[in-house]
This record gives sequence, structure tokens and C-alpha cells, in this order.
Amino acid sequence: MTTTTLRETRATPSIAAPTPPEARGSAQRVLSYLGSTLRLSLTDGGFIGFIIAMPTAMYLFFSTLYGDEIGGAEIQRHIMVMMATYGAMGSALAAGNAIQNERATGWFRQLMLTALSPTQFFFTRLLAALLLILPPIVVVLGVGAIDGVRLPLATWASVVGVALVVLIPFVVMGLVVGLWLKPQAANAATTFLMLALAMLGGMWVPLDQMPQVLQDIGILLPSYWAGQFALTPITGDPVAARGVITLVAWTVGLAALGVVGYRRAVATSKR
Amino acid sequence: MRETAITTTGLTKRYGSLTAVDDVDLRVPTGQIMAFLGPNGAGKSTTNEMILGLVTPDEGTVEVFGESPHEAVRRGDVGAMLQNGALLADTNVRGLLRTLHGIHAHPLPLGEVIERAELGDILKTPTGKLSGGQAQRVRFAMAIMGSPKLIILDEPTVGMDVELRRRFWAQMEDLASHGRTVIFATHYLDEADAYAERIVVISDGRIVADGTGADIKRRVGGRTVTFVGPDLDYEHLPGVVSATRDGERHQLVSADSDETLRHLITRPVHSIEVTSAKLEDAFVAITEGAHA
Repeated sequence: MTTTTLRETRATPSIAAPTPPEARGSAQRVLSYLGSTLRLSLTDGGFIGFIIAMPTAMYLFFSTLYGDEIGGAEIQRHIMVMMATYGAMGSALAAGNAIQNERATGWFRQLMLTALSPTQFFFTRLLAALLLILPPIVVVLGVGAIDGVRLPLATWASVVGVALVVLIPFVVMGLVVGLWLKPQAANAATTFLMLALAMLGGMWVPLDQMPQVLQDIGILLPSYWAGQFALTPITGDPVAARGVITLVAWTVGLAALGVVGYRRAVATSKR
Repeated sequence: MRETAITTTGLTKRYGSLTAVDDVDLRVPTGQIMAFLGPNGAGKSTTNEMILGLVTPDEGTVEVFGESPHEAVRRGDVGAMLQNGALLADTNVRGLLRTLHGIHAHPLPLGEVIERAELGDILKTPTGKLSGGQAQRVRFAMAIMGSPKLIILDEPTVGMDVELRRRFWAQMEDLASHGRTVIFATHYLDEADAYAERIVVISDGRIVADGTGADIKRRVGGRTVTFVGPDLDYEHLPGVVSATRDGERHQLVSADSDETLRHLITRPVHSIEVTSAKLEDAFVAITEGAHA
């Protein structure tokens, strides 16, 4: 049997590509990935329907129902902030879940065959999740303004700023859901959480109009305090220490659950 | 001597008690088209994934163009078609391509990628609604988009019809003619023989044969001739690769059964049967030969 010799049939390689490729810097690539992520989310039917249109429609419905009562203007502002926070909470949950979702489905492996590093992936997705909190807030507040809600410019800005901060725990929550559940189940779970947390957290109906049992539960939820804090720029209420503690406790607890879930996901994934 | 695209030394990967890749030493010069041939579960994919840096070896090292797989990938030197590789969900083909195009170090122009992978007519198709062949075309586009110097294809033609397969390989040969290194995994000997200048046969995680298509084909692609007759020196008949005896029947593995038969028929033998050697059997034969 002849020993194997490799055929040297090919000429010395000329690495020239068929067309000269376009060179790109690292910052440019990260910005491009951020842009694609935002564009794909914003054009997604589920995002537009569930996260933008539904809270907006609910604001218009409830504001028409209660806006003409005595103290209507105040109720109208309250409903506007609650619906904006509700939509943004859904956005934060979904964006957090999407980070892990792409790892679980295997798309992340494909991304890891590009110039994007795992760290760049994670932080770009996190930044995208924070930015995606804004569209539902901006849309619902915008519709509120058109609908006749009048507030000083600084107050509008404060509502947006506070909402952004208090919704960060929900990005973490979405990520944790993704780490513990399979992609399909995780998608369903984020939708369920969005609805359950909004309802029990008094975003749809104020907590003080609910039975005592539900009030006792609601006050323990991060969604209740997220809504309350987003209202403070309008009501001028002081920031409740209990609320801060609740939100921080949830965030720390979720982060810990996330770390355990991440270790478990790494350990059980065969490849 | 050509520059080296890939060097692996003692490459080993275990999953629990299973050793998926077992002490693989491999050197691939740049510009070579090499096939990994082996049955399912032989360790082809795991080896590819270690070359790509997606899987960390338990032992041994991989160098791609003299650097770690991660560095080579970040620099845009490596592209791959993964087996059942995931596609970006909730978007169409164009959205997927644009997302990836933006994060490569030095991508080919998008128009050229679309043309080479023949995606013009499915750009608006949602990624979840592609047929098997269409999905493979998208994966091919993903593999070449970064304008890589090394392209790794894991069972690239699964789901493609004959015509698409032919055009796919024509594209591949065109890309390789520009000095690119191509490695593809397959379990079809004919495909490996037709498109690779070198075939590395892998079985149970080990390299059991390494040679040109003709060489490998001689060893695994022949026919089996069995008959009853006296003990003679059949091994030296033309075309015969191996001669064994099972009970009263002799068994010859032949690379050229016609030629073997012409000579065999002149001997005092009877009850001749000729069957195609199954590739799986051939793998077992080579594997046993390699371990002996």
C-alpha cells in the first residue's frame, strides 16, 4: 500500500477575496449589533402589540372611563403612568429573557463565529434591554399628552428617568426566567409574569381597591413599587424606604438565582 | 512548504464516559480542501467545534493560523456551517444577514453573499419557514460572510437536492481557488472523494486513515467477493485489499472486483458472490486494522 502524500495541486494561495472586504472597528461592530437588536425588537409584532399597543389602548380605555369624574385629571395621570410602567415592565422582562434565549437556541454559537466577543454580546444585549424600556413609556406618555395631560417638562423627564431605574430588576427577572426554563416555556412565562405582576402589583386597578389579601401580596411585589416610584415625580410623595428595600431585595435575590441558574445551564449543556 | 491553517496536538474531548475525540493529531496546510469522513457519532462535529473554539478540549491544543481558535475567529479568519446550526428567530432572511454582517471584522459585501448563496428569492422569508435546502443556503451564507481564510462545513449538503448540491460545490471550489482552506465533514465517501484533495477518516474519535480520495476509496469503497475453494494466496490477486476466511468461505475485499474476478475465475473456486462493501463495515475494518 502506498503511503499517503498530500497533493500539492493548488498554487501558492493568494488570500485575496473575490471582492475586497470592508474593514470595521470594534466600536462600529458593537454599535451595529445594538442597532440590529433594537431594530429587530421594535419591528417585532409581539413587541408592538403586547408592549406598545396594549398598554396604550388600556390607557385610552380607562382614561375615557374615569377621566370625566371628579378629580379626573389626577386619575388620568395616574392611569397614564401605570400603563406606561406596565408596558415597560413587559419590555424589560422580554429583553432580559431574549439574552438567554439566544444562548439556549444556539444562535449565540453562530454569533461566537463572528468578531463579537461573549462580553460584548452580553453588555450590548443588556444596554439594548435598558433602551427598550423607553419606547412603551414614551408612547404612552405621548398619547397622554395628546389626550390632555399637562405636566411641567421636568416632571415628564423625571417620570421617564425614574421608570427606567425601577424597571432594571425586571431585566434581571427576564434573564433568570430564561436561565431556568427552556426557550418556549420561558417566552410563555415572561408573558404570564407581565400580566400577573401588573394585576397583583396594582397597575391595572389600584391596590387600595382590592381585597386585603391581595393588598398584602401586592405590597411585596416589585411591580407595585415600580409603579409607585414612577408616580412620585407627579404626586410629590416621598420615596418609601420599604419600597427601596423591596426592589433591592428582589434584584439581589434574582441575581443570586441567576448565578445558580447560569452554573446549572453550563453544567447540563453537553456542548 | 505551505503555511499551516490548522494544527491539533493530542486533541481530546470527553463527554462523561464517552471519549468523543481521542488524541487527534492533525495538520492542515492552507489552501487544502480536506474531508472528515466518518459515521455519525465518530467525532467529526466535536473536532470541528474545537477548531472553531466553540468547545474547549479536555486535553491537547488547537492552533488556527498559528493562534488560538478564539483569536482566529475574532479576526475574521474562520467561517463555519454548523450542523443544524440555529438561525435567528422572529425575523426574515434579510434581517438575519444584516445582523451578522454588521458584526464581522471584514465581511464580504452583502450583495455578493446573497448572490453566492442564491438567497435573492428568499430574503423576505421568515427564518422559521425555510425548507431544509433553503436553511442550508442561509447557513452557507453565514459561513462565507466574514470572508474567512478557513471555512468549516459540518455535513453541508444535508437537505439539499442533487442540483443544489452540485451548485453548492461549484461555489465552494470557486472560493477555495482563491487560496481558502476548506474542511468539510461528511458520511458520504463519494462526496469526500469528489471534492476533497485529502480525506481523513475518523471513527470512534480517532483518525484511522488519512490520504487521497483514491487511497481511501481503495480501502473503504470496494466490493466483497466471497467463494468456496482451496487455500491459495488470494491476497496477491489484482485489486485485492484484504483476504480472510470465514468457515469454508473465503472473503476478499477488492478495490476492483471486475479485475479480481477475471483472475479468480481461473482458480478452482465455486459459489462466487459479489456484494458492495458497506461503508460502515469498511470503517469497522479500517478501525480494527488501525488498532491491530
